Amino acid sequence: MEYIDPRKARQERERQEHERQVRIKAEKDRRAKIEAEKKRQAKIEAEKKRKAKLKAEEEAAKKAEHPAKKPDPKLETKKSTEQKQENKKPQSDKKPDDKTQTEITWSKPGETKPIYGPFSPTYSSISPIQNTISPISQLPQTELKPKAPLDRKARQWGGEKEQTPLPQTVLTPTQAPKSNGLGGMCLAPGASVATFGRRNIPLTLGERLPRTFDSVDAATAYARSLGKSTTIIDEGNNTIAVYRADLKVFQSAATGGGMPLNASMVLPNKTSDQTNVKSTNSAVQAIITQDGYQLRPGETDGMRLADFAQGKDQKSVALSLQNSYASHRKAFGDGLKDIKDKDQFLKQYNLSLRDTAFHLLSASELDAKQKQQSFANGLPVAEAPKIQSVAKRLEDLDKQIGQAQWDRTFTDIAAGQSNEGMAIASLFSDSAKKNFESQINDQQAAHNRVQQLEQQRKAVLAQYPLLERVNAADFNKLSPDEQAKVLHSACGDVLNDIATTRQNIVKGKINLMQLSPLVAATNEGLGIQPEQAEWVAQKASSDKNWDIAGKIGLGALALGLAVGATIFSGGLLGVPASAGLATAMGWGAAGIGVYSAISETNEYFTNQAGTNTNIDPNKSLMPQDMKGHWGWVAASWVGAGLDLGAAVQATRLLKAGMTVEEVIRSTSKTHNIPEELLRNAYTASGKGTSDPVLLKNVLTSALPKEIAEQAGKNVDVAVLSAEEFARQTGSKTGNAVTKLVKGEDGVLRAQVIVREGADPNVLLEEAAHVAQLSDPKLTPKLAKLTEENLANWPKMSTQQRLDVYKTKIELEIDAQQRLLQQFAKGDPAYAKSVQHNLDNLQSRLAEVDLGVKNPRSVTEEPWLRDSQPPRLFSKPGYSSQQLDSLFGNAREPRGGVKEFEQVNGKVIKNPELQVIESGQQALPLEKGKKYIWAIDQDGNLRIGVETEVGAGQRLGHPTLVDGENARVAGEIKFNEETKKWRINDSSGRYSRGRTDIERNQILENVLPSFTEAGLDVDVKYINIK
Amino acid sequence: MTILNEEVELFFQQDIFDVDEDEVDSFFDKYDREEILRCLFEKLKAIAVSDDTDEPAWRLGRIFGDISKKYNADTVVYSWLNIFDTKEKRSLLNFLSGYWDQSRADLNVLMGLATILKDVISNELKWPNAVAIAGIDAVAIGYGNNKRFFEEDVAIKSDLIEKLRLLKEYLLGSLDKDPSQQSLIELLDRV
Repeated sequence: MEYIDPRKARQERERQEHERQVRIKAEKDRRAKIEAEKKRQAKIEAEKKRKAKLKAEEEAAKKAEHPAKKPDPKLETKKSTEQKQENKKPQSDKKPDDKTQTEITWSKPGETKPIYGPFSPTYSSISPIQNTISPISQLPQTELKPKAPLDRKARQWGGEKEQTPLPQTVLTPTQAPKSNGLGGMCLAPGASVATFGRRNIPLTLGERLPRTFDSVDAATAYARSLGKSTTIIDEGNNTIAVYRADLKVFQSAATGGGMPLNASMVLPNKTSDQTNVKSTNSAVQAIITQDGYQLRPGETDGMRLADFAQGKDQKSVALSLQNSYASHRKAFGDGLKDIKDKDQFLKQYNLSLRDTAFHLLSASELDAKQKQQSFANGLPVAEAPKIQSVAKRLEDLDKQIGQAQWDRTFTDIAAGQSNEGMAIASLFSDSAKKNFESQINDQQAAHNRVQQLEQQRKAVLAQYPLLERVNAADFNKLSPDEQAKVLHSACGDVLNDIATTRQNIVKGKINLMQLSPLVAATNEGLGIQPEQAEWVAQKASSDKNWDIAGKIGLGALALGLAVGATIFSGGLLGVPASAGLATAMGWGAAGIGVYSAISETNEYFTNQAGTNTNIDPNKSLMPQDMKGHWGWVAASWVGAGLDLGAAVQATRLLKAGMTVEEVIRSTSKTHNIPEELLRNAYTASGKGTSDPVLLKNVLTSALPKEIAEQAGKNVDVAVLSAEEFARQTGSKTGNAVTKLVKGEDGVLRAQVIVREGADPNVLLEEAAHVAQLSDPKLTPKLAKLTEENLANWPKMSTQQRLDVYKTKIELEIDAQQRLLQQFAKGDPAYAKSVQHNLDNLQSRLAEVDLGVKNPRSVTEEPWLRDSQPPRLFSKPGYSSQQLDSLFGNAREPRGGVKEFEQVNGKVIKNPELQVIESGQQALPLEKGKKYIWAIDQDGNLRIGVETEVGAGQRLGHPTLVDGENARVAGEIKFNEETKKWRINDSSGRYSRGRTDIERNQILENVLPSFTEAGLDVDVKYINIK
Repeated sequence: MTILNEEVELFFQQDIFDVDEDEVDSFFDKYDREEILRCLFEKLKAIAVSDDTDEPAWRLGRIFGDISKKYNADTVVYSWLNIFDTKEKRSLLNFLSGYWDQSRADLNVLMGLATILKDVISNELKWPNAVAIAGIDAVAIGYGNNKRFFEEDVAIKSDLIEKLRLLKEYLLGSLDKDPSQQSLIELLDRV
């Protein structure tokens, strides 16, 4: 192999990088000029259109009102006089020299014309906008027929052509301050009604929609269904109108085209409902953002996000929630049955779901604040007996659950052995079989018992949900005053969670459909029918994405659900009882909570990672929990004569806490292997092994029995030093590789080459390929991957390489399919991981097929490089010194693990964690996500997503490695200019304190880990000069 | 109160950490240098009062070290040292550490900071230990990445090396050594 001087290579890269930067800069300048010109032209065009539209509207209005009338010179004169008078009137919100107030279009003779919409003196770059106000009677007549009978057949969902208003609502008055409206007039397009941000960017009106309403809530319900930014204006005379709004801000921002106003933009303070939008016109009753949030005027000049605070007390929250359901039902029928289209239905349903969430959060907030206040002076006398009684029952249940979980663990182990026994039942006596059956039944009973107790616990907790946030046993040891302090602090946690959850909802970080108690309450409140409920259920199951935001949300909702259940069962005077809502919320309160949510989350994260799952030893390769030292113990016992299943089972007993002697004695007895042999093998396992015979035993033990003997004859296992392994295979990070060679007899043989010190697990994975040797149908494909053929790889044309590479992928797919079939009834997590590999490989196959059709599109793909002949690989693994030299020393996270990265003292696993295991391809990177990576202590590449779990709180690098040591970590960002992903080593926790030279060396060594995982990434090397 | 460009301010809130450095550069190009530096000033102050100071400040330093050199961020930021309070100093020093990870240091600033730190460890200046450590970290990495630029002035180089030796002694004598301190000592050994 040609030696390439890394320093020269780096210099060459730097030179190329410099040239690239120059090219990019020139291109950037060119594009910026074009863009600026486009924007200028677009602005001119828009202004022309706006003027033309205004003119057309003016003419149309004149025509409608006075079809043949010529302009009245007197009227014109009067208008002018009135205008002057109007300008003389003192108006608090008007600049004396405001240029925007002058043009009156549809004025009515003799009527006063109020002027609205001043501009902030600080925002000088905004061009004057003409504010026009028209008496409503002078609008085209079609716009002034608001209350025709409802014709559902004619209704266009969300369409503004609808001539009929929503039915009269029975809603309570809105939170908006009373306004006298416009005295029967309407506003014209272009009028400024509010400002955004500290620079007071004006928010202006668009067209007035034909439908009008007599309540702000009804108008709001309609406006939200449009999915556009709108403004609700009180025009007086009991007329509430909806205007489209030109609420795009940041017109000159990097986004170019402007950004429509949405809720996350208007909340400068993450813990408050105060927005950075100010109403400049008292007729504004609400502004609806594009994502359907309501901004209502507050007591001061700033508008508030009304969705957050739904009432000042529990009664008003409950009434508001009922009204919210009522407005949805009145607008779209009971159960939203008037909406026939599924997507539209789900869109509207989601709005109601979100309303429910905000109402329940308000209820939770009120309850938490009230409780927090009550705990400030000790345990309230009235509540103390209940709190203490519930806490005692919880402590008792916790003990029982602990015992039951312990029993479950042991029955799992016993049943594991029994399942193994039952698989080969013919070898055992009837009494032994009965014993196995009994143990399997015991396991089921133990699982049921745990489940039953956990249900009981939830039911008890529902009586005082706040206790979910304390450890009952510890709590019961405290004095009443100390208990009050603990609960006071728990209330603070609830309030924080509520604020976080509101933010998560606004930012779309939480999938509300996953919160089943919320869905149940919404279904009940809207009267959803079974068919539509099924739509919701289908949507929820297709979006399975349980995350930490959901967990926090459930915890925050718990109090609100309990309050709701009480209120709607008739517990609060003045609120109509609703048995359905009471039941739904009661069920929710009993079914969720921080404790259970956290448990579920832990379980989820544990399962999600898929690296430490248990696999039925009879149905799988070496399980993942047999990693490192445990893998060697199991492998050594295989070498001593145990089959793989028995070796894994024995090792698990060791892990579960049995002594070595106990395990050896019982295993020796069960499998009839001398104790001494097992003991010696155990001792040898501490040193690892490079014995090819033992390794071959490990490999063949994982093959299906019917082919093990034959396939074993055609396999050689060799162990090579790391350097030799890299030299022979071209892989620095590989662990094992299967080479195919043609024997003298013409029969294909497999040479499994293992890197010295590699984990035996990787060897077992090669067994899947060895098994393919016994399938004659695959012989032609395998023949393409023989070493004789691959020797020509560098000389092959792209087309030929694609053909060989495609064969490799097909064989990998075949191997995964075999695994899937073989272990179909095994551990679901393992099956999922195989399926994951299979999906990735099939995507790659599709890519290759495209490449076959258009070879130019793939010439630069890493998998076609000269240095990567397509062998059947398994990777990585080095000695710790080698790893130090490749990736730097393993180090603790600097500054530790942050609080929000932990649950119950345990580090959260990154929800999208991928540990790139032997031979696995990583999932393709998705644009729009912010990825992080780390090289763990063992040299494995780990990738996850920088998931936001709260305001400004993102799961960082420690969540990739369970808070353990890592060698180096960084980010993966998409570079818009090169259109490629690029890695860096920016991790404050793991990558600080290395010089530029050290960092470049490490980054250079990390790169192959990405390319071998199928990720085509660039590196930005450090270039200090 | 300083009125900041809202767009730049929003960008500093999060996007700056999410997009590729080239995009940061392109974004900044549209604004005055002064405006960007004013936002940086506010951001460092804001980070100082957040729950998590070190990492974001350090990442911000790396980003500025990586983009166009027209900001001379180390020189500018150093001039704020005296007007920043203790927490803000910590944020500033972490920024410098990140900045010098990626970019050539203003050697005067590097020397100036080393001199201040010498005064700190000899108790002539009162800085909390954590702030002093952040400063030592910055100087260590600054020197490690820039020592080749000191070759022309041997006297200055020996002066700095002597100061680094004193700083290392201080670290070794410090009682509450955490793992990052250990790795800092190792770095000082290597440079």
